[in-house]
Amino acid sequence: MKAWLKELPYWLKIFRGYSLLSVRTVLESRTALVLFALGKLIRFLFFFGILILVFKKTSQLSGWTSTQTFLIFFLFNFLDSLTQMIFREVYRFRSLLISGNLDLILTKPHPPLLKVLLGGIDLIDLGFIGIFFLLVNIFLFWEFQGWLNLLLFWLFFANSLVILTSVHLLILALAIFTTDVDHTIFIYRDLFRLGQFPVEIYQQPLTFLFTFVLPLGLITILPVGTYYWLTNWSVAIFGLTFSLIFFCLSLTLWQRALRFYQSASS
Amino acid sequence: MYLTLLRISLVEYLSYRLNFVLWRFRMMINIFIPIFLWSSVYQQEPAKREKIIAYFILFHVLYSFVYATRTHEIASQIQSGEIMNLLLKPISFFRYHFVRDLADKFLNLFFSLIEVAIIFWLLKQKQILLKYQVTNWLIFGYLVTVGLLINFFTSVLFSFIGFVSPEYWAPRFLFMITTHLFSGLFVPLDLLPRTLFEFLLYTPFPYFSYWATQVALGQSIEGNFLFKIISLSLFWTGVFFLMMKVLWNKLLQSFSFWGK
Repeated sequence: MKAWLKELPYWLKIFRGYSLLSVRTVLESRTALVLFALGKLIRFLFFFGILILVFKKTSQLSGWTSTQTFLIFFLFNFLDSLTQMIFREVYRFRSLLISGNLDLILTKPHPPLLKVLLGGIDLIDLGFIGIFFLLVNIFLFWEFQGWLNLLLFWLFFANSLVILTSVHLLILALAIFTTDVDHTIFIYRDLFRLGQFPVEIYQQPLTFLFTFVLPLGLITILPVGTYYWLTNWSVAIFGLTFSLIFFCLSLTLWQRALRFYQSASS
Repeated sequence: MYLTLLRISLVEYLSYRLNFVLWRFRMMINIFIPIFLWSSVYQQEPAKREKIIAYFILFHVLYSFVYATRTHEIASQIQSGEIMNLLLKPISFFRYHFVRDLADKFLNLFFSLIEVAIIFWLLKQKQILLKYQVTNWLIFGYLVTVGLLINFFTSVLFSFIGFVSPEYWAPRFLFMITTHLFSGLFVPLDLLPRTLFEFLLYTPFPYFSYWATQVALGQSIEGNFLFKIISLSLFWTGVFFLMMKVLWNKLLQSFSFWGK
């Protein structure tokens, strides 16, 4: 632990270096940056419009009020943009693997995760993060439930981030075992997108599956559920335990995967 | 010759079975959002619920067929120079890609039917109602063909960006997002606000699969309106075809590549 803390400033310096390089690379293709950002904005506005349309036809969506549903939707977008910005390098992992260039990272004097997980900060989502953070806060204070609830909301938000980090670690580890990351990451993205609406809409057995097996419900529903005192405490405790175990398992699997790794160039 | 090409393409695509199955798995997940969302909205109105489920299921099958294409690969072939291999062969460039697309479409159609069976099981849905009227089916056939052509022409056009820029993915991403959102994949277009619906009629998006789905579901479309749909779909097909042809002739004249 002590050694880890001693190394931290050095790692932060390397992370800063990788991030600056990544930002410069993204800025090299500004037209693409604008078009990708525009696409994401249109998609967000469209689904926002769909939700407005939905609440013109019904007052509740599988038991959730409009404010609660919008909060889930904004929270999903906030988490999605945040993780896409931080973990963008995961999307490029396959080319490192099949070209053998992963060797060049493994031989560097820093943990490889600093590059393959965190080394490709993406600018496209930066602007969206600010907007979604603001929208989440507006809807939290729209029907303010108390400071304790607010604290719980952010606690379970952090819990969601731990789960999402574990998912990305798992994808990296699986990529080494199977050399396929493209489909895994996009299947994760498609599944995660289901969490932009309350998981209860998917009916049983999917609701159970999306809560306890593929933890979509734990990621987007749990923070909002605890904020409104709608979540059973046993589910909340399950969520915290799940994220801890999942994180440890993903990290262990990543370390095993590294031992399993055989360079493509050797 | 084209039959052989169709057969070879089918064999080629089937040799990457896992990739294909994973791709279809993603498509099935994507259809969950609209089906379950709208199914929840109409929980208390069984007739409307059944109608909207029928819409999304049929739309999923048609869209899988119409939207399936491999022409996005043309852009990378232009950039790598691989396109030269095809240009030197005594075969029509567009027909070659169209036939390969057909193979992809049949595979997607087949898998989408399996997905529909899974969705039926999940929703405990017994049947969807299709109106069997010969005139409707003629219009249906026309609309599917037009959707298929519009998709082919636009996809090829976006690949032509490869002639002038290595950043061909960004414009295609934007068009793909817009098509997904405004073609009726997530919401039947007639549920949108009237002004937006009427505006969309003049864009190419409803002609991918939306009107074909509505016709197959037996939605009555009055004569004048039907004429408008047919004319506008024909207009967009013509515009994209001409753009594709003109740009192809122009870009090919200035295209050069070494080392192939």
